[in-house]
Amino acid sequence: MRFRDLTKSSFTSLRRNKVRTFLTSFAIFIGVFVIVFLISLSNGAQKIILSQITDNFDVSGIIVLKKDSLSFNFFNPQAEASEDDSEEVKLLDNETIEDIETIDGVLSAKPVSALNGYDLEFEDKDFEDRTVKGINGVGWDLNNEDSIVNEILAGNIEDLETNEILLTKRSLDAFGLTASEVLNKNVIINEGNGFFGLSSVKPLPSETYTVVGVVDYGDDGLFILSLEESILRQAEKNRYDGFNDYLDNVGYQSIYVATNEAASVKDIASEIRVLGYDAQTLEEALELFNTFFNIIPIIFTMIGSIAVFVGSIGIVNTMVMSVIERTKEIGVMKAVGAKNRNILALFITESALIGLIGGIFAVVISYILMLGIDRLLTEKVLPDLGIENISNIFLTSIELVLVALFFSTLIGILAGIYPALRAARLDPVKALRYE
Amino acid sequence: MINVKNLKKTYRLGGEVIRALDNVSLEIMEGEMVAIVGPSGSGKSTLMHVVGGLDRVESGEIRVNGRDISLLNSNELANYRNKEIGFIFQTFNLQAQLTALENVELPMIFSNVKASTRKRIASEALEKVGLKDRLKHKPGELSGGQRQRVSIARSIVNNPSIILADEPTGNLDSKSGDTILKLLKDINHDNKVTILIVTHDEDIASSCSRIIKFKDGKII
Repeated sequence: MRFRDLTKSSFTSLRRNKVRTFLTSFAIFIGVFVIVFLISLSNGAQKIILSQITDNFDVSGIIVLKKDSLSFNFFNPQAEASEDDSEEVKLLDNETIEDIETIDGVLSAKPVSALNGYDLEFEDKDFEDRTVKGINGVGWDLNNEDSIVNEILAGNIEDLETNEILLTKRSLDAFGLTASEVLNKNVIINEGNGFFGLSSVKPLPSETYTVVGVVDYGDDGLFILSLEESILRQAEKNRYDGFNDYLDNVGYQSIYVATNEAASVKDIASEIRVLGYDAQTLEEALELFNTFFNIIPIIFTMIGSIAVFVGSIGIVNTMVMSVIERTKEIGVMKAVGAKNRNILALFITESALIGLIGGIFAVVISYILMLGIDRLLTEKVLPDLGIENISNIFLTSIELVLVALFFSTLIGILAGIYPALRAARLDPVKALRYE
Repeated sequence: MINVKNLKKTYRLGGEVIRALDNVSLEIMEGEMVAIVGPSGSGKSTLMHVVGGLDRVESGEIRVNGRDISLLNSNELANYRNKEIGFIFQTFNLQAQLTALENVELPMIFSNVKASTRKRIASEALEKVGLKDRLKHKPGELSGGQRQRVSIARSIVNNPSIILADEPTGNLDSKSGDTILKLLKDINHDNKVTILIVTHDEDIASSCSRIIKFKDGKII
């Protein structure tokens, strides 16, 4: 029997019972639709989030921390688990910086302190919103050519005095001010006293700093103090005797390592770990993120598969009905020379077509729906929310479409095996007598 | 040409054992047109099915053109039915959703004849049975006699050596019955096709070259 005759004949019998064919493939449609639609959504979301992260954050930098066996490194769970806990924790000091700077591909290594939970208030009473509370800053010495620096918006960012402060583009957004408005203005800094004043640290008095520059850069700190000033604040707060005493006992909080290219970040990070420190990179953090987005489609596929499974039972049912209804027809085909395998092929093809029809509907309808939702969101909803530059929410691929069609056809074939075998094994004499 | 020896076949019907073929032997020559008569359940249809390769016997030999078809496997039997046998049924057994032409094409689909050749042969066969202008009609749009003519066309397209007709005129008025009988005689005469007709109709039986009578699974 020729393939063309096979498909033509199967189509003829499917057309004979259009409603039943449609209803049967509908269940397959639901399942495959769920899979195609949700996986495209998940892929699209992954791409959008990933591009937001890599556009806005620094991918070629590494944060070096001293190893702390008590804290779990969220970004890199394996990094610590494999190390020996009894090892003495190495402080981050100037020697560490020298060691790191000898690693190939490292451009610079800078000590950094995080300044968390600060309140900033402009002295200038003309500003409408002159206070922001509970924000985080960074203490470090920036250079103009640092890769983390995207753009200097105003003033100067190098060689800060201890009473000078830099604001970032993000903090301008927080205050609702422009770079030129804040330049050379005075800012009063108040450090929070810990939660409910229960902290053991010594409260520091308010201090006034002058804004000498505004920078757009790849860290989420809202203001920048000089390294020396930030260490002095830490030392005083924690009752150490000045800069050196603090460094000898506590060390730097972290070291920011700039590398010459994003591709070598991972290798450099592992070399730093060999030195006995903890190193965190955005790329490795993104691996976790990517792992998450690799699991999501599997979950969606499982959900869709449940619907497809239910649908396949529907196909078995429909096909068994079809075999019973066409018993006499099968008898006639056998009488005029159809082999058992011809009958088998006829019914399997019919069943496969039911699956394929469901799959095609799923692909077409999810495509139309995705186009519609994409257009609605990217042209209307998102711009209204102030989100631009997102061209599409869904990300689908020809592979996904082909796999979906293959999968639905395969389900049809599998569901057709039992009914087709029943048809093929019919006794021709009994089949011809069937009324 | 057809040479059957000691055929035995029994049925179980509601606990009762029925001897459908009880040691049946017979010989039919090439080109004969034989009527098989007898009461219902006497085994005449079973003989047709067995000779046509649709059914198997418990013992005995069925030689057709020198080959014992009781030894063939199911694929070989399908091939045998396809190439050497043409069936004609009392209830026509046409596929309702197919046109007359497509119904006649059916045996050729299973012998892998390509579509254009199939259409040509099928239209010629329909022309021969006088349905040249009914090619695109579906069985529901044809009269009983016309349907039986379609089924005759279907039975001859693969040039079988034997046509087995089971009560071919049983569902037809006498005029249509005559047309069918004449067609079968023409085919028997022109193509040298051996024809076995199971019938209750005395006229048909008497117009055949030989009459075989069945009773209780035996030839009498």
